[in-house]
Amino acid sequence: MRTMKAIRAFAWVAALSVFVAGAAEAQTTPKGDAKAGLTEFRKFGCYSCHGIVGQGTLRDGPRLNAAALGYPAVLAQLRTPRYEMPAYTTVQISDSGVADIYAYLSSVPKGPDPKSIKALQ
Amino acid sequence: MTKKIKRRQFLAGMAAAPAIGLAATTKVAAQAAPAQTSSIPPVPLTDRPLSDMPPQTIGKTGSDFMVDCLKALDIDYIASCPGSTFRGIHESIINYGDNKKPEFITTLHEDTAAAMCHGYYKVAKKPMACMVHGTVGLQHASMAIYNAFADRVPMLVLTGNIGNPVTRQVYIEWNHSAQDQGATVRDITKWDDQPTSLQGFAESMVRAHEMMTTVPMAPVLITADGDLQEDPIPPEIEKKLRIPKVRTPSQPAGEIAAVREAAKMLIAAENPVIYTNRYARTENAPALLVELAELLGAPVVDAHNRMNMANRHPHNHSSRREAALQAADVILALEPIDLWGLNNYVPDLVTRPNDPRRRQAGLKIIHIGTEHMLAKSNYQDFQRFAEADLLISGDAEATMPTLIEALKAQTSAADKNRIAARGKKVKEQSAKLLDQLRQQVAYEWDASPISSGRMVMELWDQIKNEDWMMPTETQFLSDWPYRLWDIDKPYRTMGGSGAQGIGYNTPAALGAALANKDKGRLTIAVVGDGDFNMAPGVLWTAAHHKIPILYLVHNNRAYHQEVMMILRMAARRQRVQSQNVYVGTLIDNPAPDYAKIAQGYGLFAQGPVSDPKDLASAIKRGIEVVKRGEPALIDVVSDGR
Repeated sequence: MRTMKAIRAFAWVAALSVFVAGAAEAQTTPKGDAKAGLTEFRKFGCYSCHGIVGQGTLRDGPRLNAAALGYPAVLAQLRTPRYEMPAYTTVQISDSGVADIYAYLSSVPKGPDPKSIKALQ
Repeated sequence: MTKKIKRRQFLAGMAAAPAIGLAATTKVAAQAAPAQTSSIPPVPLTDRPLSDMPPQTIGKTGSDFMVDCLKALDIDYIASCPGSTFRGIHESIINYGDNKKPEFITTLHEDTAAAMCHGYYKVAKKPMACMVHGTVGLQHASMAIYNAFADRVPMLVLTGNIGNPVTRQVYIEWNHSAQDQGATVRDITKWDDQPTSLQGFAESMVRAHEMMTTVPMAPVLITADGDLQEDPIPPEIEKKLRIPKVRTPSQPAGEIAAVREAAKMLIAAENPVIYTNRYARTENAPALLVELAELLGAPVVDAHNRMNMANRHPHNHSSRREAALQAADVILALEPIDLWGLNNYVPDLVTRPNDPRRRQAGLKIIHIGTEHMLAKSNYQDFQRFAEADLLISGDAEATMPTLIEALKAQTSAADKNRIAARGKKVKEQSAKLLDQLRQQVAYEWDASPISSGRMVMELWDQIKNEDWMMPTETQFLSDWPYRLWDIDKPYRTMGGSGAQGIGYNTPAALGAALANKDKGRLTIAVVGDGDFNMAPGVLWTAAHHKIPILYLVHNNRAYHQEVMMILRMAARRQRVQSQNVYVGTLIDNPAPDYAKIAQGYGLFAQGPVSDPKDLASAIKRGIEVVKRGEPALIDVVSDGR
């Protein structure tokens, strides 16, 4: 059941990402502090559903790392979330805090080429 | 001591009892059975006080006969921690029964004993027994019994009881006795009985065996009376005792007319989808499912509660579950368990709305299963009611041959062409999935703490050329084994706990490993730290009985599901900025050292392993130990999911 939740959430967020692409171009992604973002990412428990490096989990949260989503999509999902994720308002995390988290997630490398990983063959 | 003697009114020494001045009640009892007293050789009298010289039992005892019954049922193992209410059977198993069939498996908790039975059955496909102390042991075992009940897995639960209040020793035996032992677990067993004679015991054991191994399967409880266990069997009674013939029951299959109607609906469908959950009952089931899926050119969506289908079979579309179901105009649901939940959803929001999932208008559902054939009123594991367009009451696997035959008979040449085209498309969709999933796991490859994807795939790299079996649940591992391993044989996995009672995986895996030991398979189990901490004593049983198994502790140092849930609660209430959300959810400060715990129980153990680069070598060393026939454990400091 949760698989579907995750898939639906991911599909929605992906769709939203496309939808807001135009806005994203117009809206400058704020410059965040990746180091502070890592701390925030863990402090606010984002890792618990999205994985320790934002890789996503099957049932609980989509992948966020390696610029999987644009900043506007991340901000929109935080402030006015769809599906089961609760809203994180400015009372809880400021826009600059979100920018830091986004900077951290964008800094996470994509990972090695799967073809280079022996255990994946 | 006087009361002890009262309990043993059939003991050999009874002939001498009147001579040494026992209480009048005992004399009356002895007089009521004169033939018994005369047929048993007397124990020589001495001048020692009676309390120092209890009468001795000569000849076959009631519990010896009970062991005959266990042997007749072909029970190979009986897991137990000792308890005085079944001391007669315990002694009979090890001496009269030579500790073979059943062999006594010592556990450190009754929950472990019952959960081992659960895991054992799912591999061996034959029931195992556990024996638990009256009242307190049964209460300890009850959660594992509930898991098995909800998972429709049979086990024979034996308990003892001092049924006659007059023969109970003071205090403790009263605490461990019950007017109705079965009441403790009646809501979570298929049947229970408390027989009052040995012949009744034999018949109840065979009846219990028939009932628990006929679908819907579930645990059964037999209460063995203490006096019946411990007293010798009077010869004239022994002559008449008979254990009924034990038969393997055939399973109820769907009615032929209904099966033909199902075939008609499936052939007419544009996009039929097969959904399986608790479908596979034997190792023949996956091959039957493949035949059905290929005949229909249909994708299969599997919920993994049994080893239903090889995960890489091109018709297995479990990794694109919702996409497949959204396209379906007919769903064939085989033992679906939660049919309502297949097509509906209650999101975890404050309002808890009921959301129908996106499905084709006019979707038809065929349900073949036995879920509605066993339900108790109290526990709600029967799930929300859902209607099907066609309900076929019967074991899905037993119904498969008839359904396949009906499909073959009813499919026209034109239908075959249409189905073949659909089947080709289904295979093409499947081919793309594996590469996408490999790319996903690469995103977490170098994460520290070690990601579940890395842990699972490092394990896979070490076992892929072995004859392996993984008995543990995967939902907390993002299902990576089902998504990326090659789960090819019909015994590679066995599904989940049934009722999600935490503390299932560690002992159930050991039960599975016990069955795998007899089959020469390598058992590898990934257990959460929360699960492990419910029953760490399982490790001692593994070491003591030399049951080979490799445990990986998925150590996220938390009850991680609850971390997420408390965060959700706090976020809803705008309190997430407080670090209090971790109060009550972390298993940290101090962080338990699971390798040391395992070593203390006598296992080879490594860890904590926190660098992903160290994991492969640790797993390699662990497998070497397991291949020598011993258990091993690796503590892997891991990401939450």
